[in-house]
Order: sequence, then C-alpha cells, then structure tokens
Amino acid sequence: MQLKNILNLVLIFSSSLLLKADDLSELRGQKLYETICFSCHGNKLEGATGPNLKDYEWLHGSSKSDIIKSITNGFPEKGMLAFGALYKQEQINDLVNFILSRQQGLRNVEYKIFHDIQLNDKFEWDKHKADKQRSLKPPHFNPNLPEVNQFAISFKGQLLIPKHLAGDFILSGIRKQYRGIALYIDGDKIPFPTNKDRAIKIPLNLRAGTHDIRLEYIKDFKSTVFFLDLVGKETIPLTSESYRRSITSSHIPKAENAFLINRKRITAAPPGSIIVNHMDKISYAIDPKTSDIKAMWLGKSLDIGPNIYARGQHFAQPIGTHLFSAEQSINLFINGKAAELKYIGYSDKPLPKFIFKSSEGEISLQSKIENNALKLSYSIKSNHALDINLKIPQELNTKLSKGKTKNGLFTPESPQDFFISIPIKELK
Amino acid sequence: MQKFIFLGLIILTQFLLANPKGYSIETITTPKDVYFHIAGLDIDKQGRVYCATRYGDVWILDKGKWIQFAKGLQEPCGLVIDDDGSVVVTQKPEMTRLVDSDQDGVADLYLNLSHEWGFHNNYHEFNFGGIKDKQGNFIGSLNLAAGPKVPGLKLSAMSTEGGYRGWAYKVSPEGKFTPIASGLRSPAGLGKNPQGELFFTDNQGDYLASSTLNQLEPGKFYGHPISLLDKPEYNMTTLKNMDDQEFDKMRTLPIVWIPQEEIANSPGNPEWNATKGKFGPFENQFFIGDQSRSNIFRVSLQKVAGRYQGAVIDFMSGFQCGNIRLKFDLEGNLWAGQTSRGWASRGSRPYGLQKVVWDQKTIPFEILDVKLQKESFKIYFTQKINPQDAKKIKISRWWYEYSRMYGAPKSELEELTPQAIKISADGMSMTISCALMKERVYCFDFSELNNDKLANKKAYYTIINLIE
Repeated sequence: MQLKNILNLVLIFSSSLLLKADDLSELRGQKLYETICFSCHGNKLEGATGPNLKDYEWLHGSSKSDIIKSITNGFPEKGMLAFGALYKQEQINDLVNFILSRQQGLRNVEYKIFHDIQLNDKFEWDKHKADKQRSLKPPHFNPNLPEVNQFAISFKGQLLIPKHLAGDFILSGIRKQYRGIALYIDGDKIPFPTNKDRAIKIPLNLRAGTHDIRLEYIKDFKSTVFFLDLVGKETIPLTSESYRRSITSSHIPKAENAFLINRKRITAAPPGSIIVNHMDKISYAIDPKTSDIKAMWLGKSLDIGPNIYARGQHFAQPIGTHLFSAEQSINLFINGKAAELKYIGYSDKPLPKFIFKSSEGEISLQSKIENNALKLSYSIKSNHALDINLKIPQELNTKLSKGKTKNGLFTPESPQDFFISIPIKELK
Repeated sequence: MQKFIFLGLIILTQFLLANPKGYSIETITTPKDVYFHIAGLDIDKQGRVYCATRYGDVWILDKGKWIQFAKGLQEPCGLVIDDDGSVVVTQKPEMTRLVDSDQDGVADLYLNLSHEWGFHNNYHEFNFGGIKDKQGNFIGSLNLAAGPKVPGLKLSAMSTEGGYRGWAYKVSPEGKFTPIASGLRSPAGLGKNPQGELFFTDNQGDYLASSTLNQLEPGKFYGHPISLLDKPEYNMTTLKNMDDQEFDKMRTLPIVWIPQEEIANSPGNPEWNATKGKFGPFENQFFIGDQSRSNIFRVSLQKVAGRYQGAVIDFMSGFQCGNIRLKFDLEGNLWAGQTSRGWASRGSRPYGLQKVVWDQKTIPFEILDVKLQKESFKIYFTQKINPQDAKKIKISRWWYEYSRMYGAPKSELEELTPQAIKISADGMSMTISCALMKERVYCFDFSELNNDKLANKKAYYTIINLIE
C-alpha cells in the first residue's frame, strides 16, 4: 500500500516536472517567435507575408520534424532564412514546441452526404448508408458541398483548443434556416435557438485539448448560408464561409516592374474578360468579344484567392479604386456604329497588345506606362478612310491624342493611330 | 525496428491496394511553391511533358527542368501539342492557340481559336479538351453549370444558360466552331483510338446513374436533357414538361458503365495503350484515371452489332492524389496529372504529377480481357489460370436506371450460376456459359482466389447488344 502511494507520488512529481519542462520550452519558443517570426507570420501566427502557422494547412509538412526542417533550412527563394545557421537546434526545438502548442480549430473532418433527405423525414443518421463519404479539406463545415437539391450532410472531426485560448467562448453565427441543424461537442448537443432568429449566440466553456465535434445538417432553406465561429480571445472559424471570411492569405499576383495579363472571373467585367495590370499601379479589363474596356482601377491587379480556393465558386476581387462606374466603358465606334470585331488574340511581347479584325481592316490596342500614365494606343489598318470614334466615360480623367471631343465622344485627328492616356498620379 | 515496421506498412498497403506486379509509381517534383493542379497533359516527340494547371499556367518539363511556357489562362482543362509545336488549350471562355513566335521557349501569342459557346462565369462551366481528330479539328466538351443559386434551366442538380453547355464540339484549324453531340453532364475526359474514333468519359450525377465511357458520335444525345435547350425544337417550357422516360428513349447508351465506389467516381481522359508492348501485356486498351479514388483502370472495347461495348478492370491504386489526366510517353511510361481542389481525392497530396513505370519483364497475373461470345463470355488472363481456381468465380449482373436522381444504385441485381466453365488448352483463358441478357453489367468476381496471385479480382462487362 505504502509502496503504491510512493510510486504514485513519484509519478505525479515526475509528470509535473515533465509538464514544466514542456511549458518552459514553449515559453522560450514564444520569446523567440515574438522577436523573429512574428514579422512575417503575424503576432498571433495568423499569417502575413508568410503563411498561417496555427491552422490545418502545412505547406511543407505538419509533423514536428517537418517543421524543424522547414525552420532550419528555410525557404530562401521566398524570403525565409535558413534559421539553422542562426539558432541552436534546442532553440528551434523550443520554437516548434511553441508553434505546436498554438494549433487550433478543426482537424480530420469527414463528411457524409445523404441524397434526397427531407427535414420532415424521420431520418436516422446512423442507419443510412451515405451516398458520398470523404475527408474534408479544408476541414471547415460546408453545407454547399452536395450537388443535389435536397440532402442531409454530416461532418465529424476534432476541434483543437490550445491552452492560451481555453475557457469562455461565444458560439456565434448566422444561419438561413432555423431547423435541421444540430451541433455536438464531446457528444453534448449545443442548444441552438428554436425560434426563427437567424443569429446564433451561445456561451460555451471549452477546456484545452482535443474535442470531438459533429454537425448534422438537413437542408431546409434553398440557400445554405451558414456562418459559425467560436469567438473567444481569438476567433476560430467552424464553417467554410466563416473560414473564407477569416483568411488573410489572399493571393495577389504581382506585376512589379512589368505587366501582368490574367484571365479570371470578376464581377466588374463580362465573362471571359482579360485583365491587364501595369506595374501594380493600374489595371483594366478588356472584353475580347467587343474590345470594350469594361473596368479600370488604380492599384494592384486582383486578389485571385477566392477564384483559386476550393472549387473556385467565388469571384476574384479587383484591388484598388475604380476609375469609372460599372455601367460605363470605353467603346470603339467605326463609321458611327459599335465596332463589330473578330477577336484574333493577344501578344504579350514586348507589351500587351490585343488584335481584332473587322470587315474594315485590322485593329489593335496596346497598353503601356508612359509618363506615369496608362497609355492605350489604338492602331487601325484599313484600305479606305474610316470614321473612328471612341466613347470615353466622362468621369475618367484622360489625355488624348490630337482630335476633337464632343459629348464624351472622341474623334481622333489621325484615325490610323491614336491614344488615350490615363494619368496615375493625379488621380490618387 | 522502426524500419521494419515501416517496411511492413509498405508491404501491407501494397498488398491491400492489390497492384499488378512489375509496375511502380514514380513521383515527379513539380515547380516549387507553384499551385500545380494539372488538368491538361501532353508529351511531345522529344519527350517534353506539357502541363496545363488550373491556376492558369502551362509548364514544360524538359530534361528534368521546368519552364513556364504560358500564364494567366482561365482554368485550362485540356492541352494538346499541335504538329507545328504550338499548343492548344481549352480555357473556360476560349480555345486558345499558344505560339512561341520568337522561338525563345516561351509563348508570346495567345490566339483565339474559338469562343463561340456560352460561358456565364459559373465555376462549374469547365471546358475540357486535349484531343485533335483525324481531320485536324480540336475537340472540346462543355460542362454544365452548378451551384445553389445558379440561373438557367435546371431540371435536377445541374443547370444551363445555353450556349452549348453539355455538348461536345469541334473547332477547325481555321477556327470554325461546330457542336457535335449533346446530353453530356460533366465530360471530364476526351480520348481517341488509333483509328481516330473519339471517346469521352462522363461523371456520375443527375441523369447519370454511374460514370461512363462513351463513343463520341455526331448528332447523338447521351442523356443529360438540359443540353437540349440549344436545339431549335426545344425550349425551357417544353423541356420542363417532358418526363424522364421521353429523354430515356432518345439517349445513346454508353460503351461501359464504370461502377461507382468500385472502380471510379470521377473518371478523366481515356488514354489508348499503343505502346507496342512497352507497357506490358495490356496493349490496345484504354487506361483511365479517377480523380476521386486516385486509381487507374482499364477498358477494353468490343464491337457488337455495329457499336462498342466492353469490359472495365481496375489496374492500379495508391497514387498521391486524384488522377484526372493520363498520357503515355515515348518509352511507354504512363504519366498521371493530378488535382484535388474542390473535389477531394484519396492520397496525401493536393496536386501533382506521377508516372507508372513497367519493369519491362514481369508479367503480372491479371484479368487481361473479357469478350462476349454468342452464348458465353471468354475471359482472358495474362498467366495460366488454375482450373480449380477458375471454378471459384462468382457472377452477378445488374443495370442502372435512368432518372434525374443524382446517381442511382444497381437495379435488378442478381447472382448467376455459371452453366459451364471451360479452360482453354493453353490455360490462358476460360469460357463461361451463363444466362445472357442485353442491357446488363456482368461482374466476374475472382475474390475467392488466393490473394497473392491475381491482383485485381473483378472484371465488369457491359452488354449493350447480344451477338445474334
């Protein structure tokens, strides 16, 4: 009996020593993080120029040894030094212990889709065979996954709560349907409001560690809008819409000292439009079906993050200030009519140049930066004289080649070669 | 010790995956920090590997080095190298010819071959391609739209706003656009055989009980009705008032049904094996990758009563990501372009490139082929089958009902008792007599055989026509 007690004491003592050693290592790691890593990965490991370090996604491996390797060797071409040359292996070990102690949110989520299940069906989740069953990456609950109109979907996985966030949270969200949603944490059903209130606000207390989490969702309302976050000292997104709102790692291709041509979906221009950015200063969207310039904005090109995330359901976002309103555009008129053009294609060497043909001849449009302005040069090759006009939004500040302007309609003096120049500086 | 456990795990997984002996998977390192979701893949006569990525780039792997050939494209889902060295890609809004006019190794002209179809900015409006027909036309297929709020004609899950969504089309080298056939749903892979006949796969969903391989023939309708909106004799109202039985009567049946969750859920392009034995014993069969189950399977064709039908046999599993594009290189290695974005796939990687290499000597024990005869099936093997083993065969058959439901289970599933089993004199094939019926999928199951022998144990034969 006595021996057992002594053994127990030894066990408790040694485990508390172990715990302390871990804590100390994490603390040392935190100090190191706060002097070095924060500038690229964010104060809260949320990511900035470097990636988020506390979520599910690890570009170069999530195991302790993977992370040690990443820090030791760095990614010099991406601006991350090989820290192995600057810090001892013990220090890097501390740093990784700290990063691992901050892991939070959903992990290892599996979903099951059951087709044609109605809310009023007496549906027993365990007794039905799922029509689809997969692991969910990213792991955030997404009731928009099914391609069928009517369905039930369940998600099952783990929720990581790190020590520094443990305690009181508010489960906060917005739902479109007030029936058919059930959330369980560690087997306990979370009491969602039973009235038609769309807002969810439920206080919860969560200990540090790994929790089992499960969401059951039977589609009731035609739109499946569903935001759900755990709001505490930090916000932990639970649904894909919440996650998308939370991600700071947008994806903005850079033109730097040159130009960039990109074809992505944006709401400001018709489907199939091509977006050109010069020097991360100014962008325009050209519709190749018409040659119309449908949008123009100052600043960087596009955040294409939403367009290359998951299925790409969401539109890329122009970054910066639009120079004319959505219903406006720059249009070419030939002999008094909107030009009927056949789009031939574009060249990207040495400059962006869009080429069109019409019954009247060949038309090209080239862009460049000149005198801190975007210069759009039109060139028209035709065997006979043409009456050329360019309709320019009146709200657009421009410098034009020689010609006359009346009621926003520009008539160039030389219809073979003319330009429109949009100053960048003055408009800032 | 740990090493032993690791080794044990590898052996165990390979055993569970039941891959053919003599074939191995090699992983190709893709450019660092580049989103490399491959959806277009071709290989030129110098062995250079061209990849179109969903991010919008075209990259070339030339003697182990990656070169960025083009960029800024809109989710290209097909790529074919033309005879003059230019590259034709199917972007969502445009079929584009990429030309390196100054011969510096990078495309500088992005020429519009055609944009004569409807693209309405829906994420699901993929434009698949990667095939050139015998006459020099470039072939493409236009996915239907999807999403909870998608506008247009919607009879079940998918939607169209017109403009030949759900059609296959061809574009002449001069840029003339011609729609070929309708009724396609999510036709993610196009292919051809050495005779130049065209084929496409379609992905299971509404109006498609399970995934299929089909021959692409002009004027045919393959079953998804909303594509009929582009035919002058139909409109929104007439199509909404028609019932599924009417569409059923109009449709052309597939070459083979590809059983969901057993073989494939999201098949990619059919790639014909004409490697003259460089890829082992499976000559003159289609190899098809699956984006969802991350495997590769085979399809062999048989022409009966004037049209194709045939057999489906699994080949290899355990790839790092979902295989959507396959291509043989000149040495007879089978390359697999991979993606998982938006549609999850088995495996540890979100995207990538792998190739299957045969060791040039081992003939694995596999079901080589199944052919229908007048009153029986003949099953061919790559090695001699033990007559005792042959008796352990189990036969079942079923059909897939046509409806607007999103996928359908096997219907009229039944077990069959073989009436007679005869092993050929050389032991390389067996003839099985059993009750034959048209419009049935027959499954020949050798699961009772010794595990370490036959790697893939099932063959599925789709009977469309019986031999009269």
